[in-house]
Amino acid sequence: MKTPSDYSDNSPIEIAASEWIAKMDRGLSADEESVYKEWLAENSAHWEAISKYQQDWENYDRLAGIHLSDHSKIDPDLLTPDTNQGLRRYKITKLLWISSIPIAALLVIGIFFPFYNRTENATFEIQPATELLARIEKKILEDGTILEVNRGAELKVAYDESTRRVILKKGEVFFNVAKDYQRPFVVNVSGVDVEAIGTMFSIRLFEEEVDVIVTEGIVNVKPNGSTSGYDNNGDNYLKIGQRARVNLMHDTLSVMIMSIDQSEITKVHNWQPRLLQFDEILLRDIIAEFNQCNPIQVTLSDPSLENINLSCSFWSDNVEGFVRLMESSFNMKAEWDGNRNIVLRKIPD
Amino acid sequence: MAIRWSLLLLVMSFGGCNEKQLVKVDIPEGLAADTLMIFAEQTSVEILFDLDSVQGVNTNLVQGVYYSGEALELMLIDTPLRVDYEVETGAYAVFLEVE
Repeated sequence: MKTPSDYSDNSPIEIAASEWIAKMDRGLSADEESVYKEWLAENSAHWEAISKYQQDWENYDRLAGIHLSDHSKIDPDLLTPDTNQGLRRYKITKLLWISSIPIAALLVIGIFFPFYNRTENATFEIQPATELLARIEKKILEDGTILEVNRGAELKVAYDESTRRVILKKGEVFFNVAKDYQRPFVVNVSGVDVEAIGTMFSIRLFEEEVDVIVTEGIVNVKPNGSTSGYDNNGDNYLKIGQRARVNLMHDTLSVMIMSIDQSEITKVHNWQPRLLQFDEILLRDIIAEFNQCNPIQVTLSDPSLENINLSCSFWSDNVEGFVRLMESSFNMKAEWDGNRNIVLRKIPD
Repeated sequence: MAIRWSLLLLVMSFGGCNEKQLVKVDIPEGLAADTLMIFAEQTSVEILFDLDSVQGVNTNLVQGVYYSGEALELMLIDTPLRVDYEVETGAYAVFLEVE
């Protein structure tokens, strides 16, 4: 059987598929839709071509918004019904109060630490609840490298002919790097270069250190720019199951390499989305699964809700969708309790 | 039978309301607890349902190319089950319609 890549870009099937994708993006009329379905049914190659273009189109969509994907859209009125003005006012007040914390912190730093000069470090403000509820963003770069960008992380992609460069400004990202021996893949993070050819690793940027964990292949962790004064030209090669902690608080970067076991790696990478697929699971257990993977914690106010027997296929980072469906289809009401907890209450019959 | 087909056509005419993405499905007739999970597997959409609500309910055979919501609604024609679609994240819940 032919794969989509067997067709040249100029084949009639490819051209027709790309035209259909463009039409679908603007919305199909009823007539167009029936013609489209007939065209799909004519030949399995049509289906294959449209699948390929659909995937490409989604990738372009993702790349179009480097900081915010469709998944990451934040609804400021989350869980707040239109009629509940009191709760909404409470949330707005709370949001303003939360927003004021980093501002106040910055003012204190400005007043008391005017000579503190580590501006290349990212700011480490408190993340608002809405940001913590966003889906984990998955980016597929032009070379096929896949990035899973944790909530609140910021990065910039700067590929050129010789190097595939990503600048991590803030937060945590998991990299699954496509092999390209001609162009090394380098992540610049707060004065550190993490270089790979084709491998999997994560980087977390903290205020005082950079944490690198390798789960496949080898990466080189070294200071960027001049490496004079460093042993081995500043190179520190990390293998599978090794972690490097780079201390950013000294003038010369110090790198500590250690081995870590699989359970520790799993714990650190727990934020990465996984499909929670259960034929039969109690509501309290599925909530425990969500709570394990997310900073927002969900609790049940009523013990009678705990034993609702569910089947589900749900991504672990979609707490928002889960809570909304509990409200709309399971006769529950969700309320914020503080900035990190959502309580699900049973609505009386 | 005529009513069934009218309903089917009605669902198809509104099918586009759920999602842009078309999916190819081949879901057999059978118990909802099984077929809804087959639906999730074939379409890669997120779904959840209360097992007690769907117990003993049979869903319809659905084969072909449909929008995911359209396929799900076709499965549930002539059953007491209904679909809830979460617009923000694209997830579905199936629940028992209370008369």
